[in-house]
Amino acid sequence: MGLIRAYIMINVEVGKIAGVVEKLKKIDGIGNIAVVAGEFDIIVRVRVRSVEELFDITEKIHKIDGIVRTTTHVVEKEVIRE
Amino acid sequence: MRKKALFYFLCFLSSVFGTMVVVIDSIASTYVEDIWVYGNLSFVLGTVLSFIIALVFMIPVRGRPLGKNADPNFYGIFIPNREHLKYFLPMALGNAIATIGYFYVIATMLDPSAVLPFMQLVILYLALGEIIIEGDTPSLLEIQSLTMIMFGALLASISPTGTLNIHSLIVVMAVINTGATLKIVAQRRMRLIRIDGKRIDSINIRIWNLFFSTIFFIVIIGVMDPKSIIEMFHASSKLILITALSMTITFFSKITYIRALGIGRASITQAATSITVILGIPATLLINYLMPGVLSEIFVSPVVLTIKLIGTIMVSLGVITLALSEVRAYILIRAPRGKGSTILRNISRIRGIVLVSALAGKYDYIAKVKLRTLGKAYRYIVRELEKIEGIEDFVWLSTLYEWEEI
Repeated sequence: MGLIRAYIMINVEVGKIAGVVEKLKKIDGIGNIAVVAGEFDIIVRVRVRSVEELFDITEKIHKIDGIVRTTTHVVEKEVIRE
Repeated sequence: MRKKALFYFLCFLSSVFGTMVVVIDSIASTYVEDIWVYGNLSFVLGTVLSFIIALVFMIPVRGRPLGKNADPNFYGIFIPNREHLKYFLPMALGNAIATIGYFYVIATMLDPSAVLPFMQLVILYLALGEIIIEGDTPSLLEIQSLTMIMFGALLASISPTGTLNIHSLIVVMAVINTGATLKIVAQRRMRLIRIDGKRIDSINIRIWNLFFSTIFFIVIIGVMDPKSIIEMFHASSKLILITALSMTITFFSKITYIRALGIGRASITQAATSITVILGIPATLLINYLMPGVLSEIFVSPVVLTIKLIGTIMVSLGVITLALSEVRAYILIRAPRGKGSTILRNISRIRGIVLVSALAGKYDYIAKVKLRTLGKAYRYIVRELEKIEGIEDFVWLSTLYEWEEI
């Protein structure tokens, strides 16, 4: 309970996606990394206990070499149908 | 651990256990005059054993039940309510029907390496079901892989004398696979729903499935062969021991399988566990070597064995192709709020969308898509999204690579 879920959309410098994905995998709290084609390059799904933790993760992501920009979207409500 | 790796590991484990069960059952069928005595015994003992194992799983170790290691959703045995029964009863009926066909086939064929590929034919039904539900014409890839699986299973089931057992095949197609499809569909639904906010764990699914299956099985067999019910009480201790062994391994095979089902799609889980087809050949050869004369000798000529091997390779290739044909994507949606949660619900109703989240940020919703094929299904989703009132704009991001943590 009390979990905060969020999506972080990431834009990466050309040619650095593979390296970024490897570094993302090492960050705690990241549950899902999808490399996508379109407006963003990577979509990351995170689960954290607090907004501070979300901030920490965003900070860690910003430190990775090759990251151009991140856009964070906090999840308010969800429907799972899998 | 990576979700995919865990998923395939569970499938492999389940396959190994599954192969062992068919081998043991085939051997056991030679010990009894009436296969239904073994069938009845399997169900009754299986239920008792499963309850015992589940009770052991309830023992708390460091403050949490032991069974949580097998399935994190396990909290202890529960008594099914009406909502549960809606899922348990069709599943158990399917299971009972499939098992009747199964015992008939193992006793007549005495060849695990043939029975195992036959049982994989259930994927044909599952894939066809998905194609029909999705209202889509199957892609060339799907037709190719399904054809390969079907003919592969036929080749793999060839008897040592080089003949095909048509009679058994009919039982497999009409009885076993129909029952198995009913069971798998109910099982998968059950794994994903939440009752009173909780998911049903694989341990409770297993014990209650067995409990209700036993009732269905005994009733059906009671009509077909009443004598076997009485004979069950005079079974030798050796037979009871074999049955207990078979049922214990089955229990673990099912638990690993149901766990895998909670991660992957029904047809893909089925695909990955179809490795049992290949395992059937070495397992049967091993028994032929260790216990000559008990089962059908499968190594009569290198030609027959080669044909069997080609068959199993065809089945595996078919199922792997099918498994890899899944397409994933994300859709980012802009829709001004105010419509409440109707948009969220409407989006989640679109087939192929597995997860929708309402977001705070530049986009208002994100939907995760899993599709069998991109073409037609993509057009369908876009069409459905355009129909939803309130959606202003959306972007489709095809997933090129995905990593998931457990």
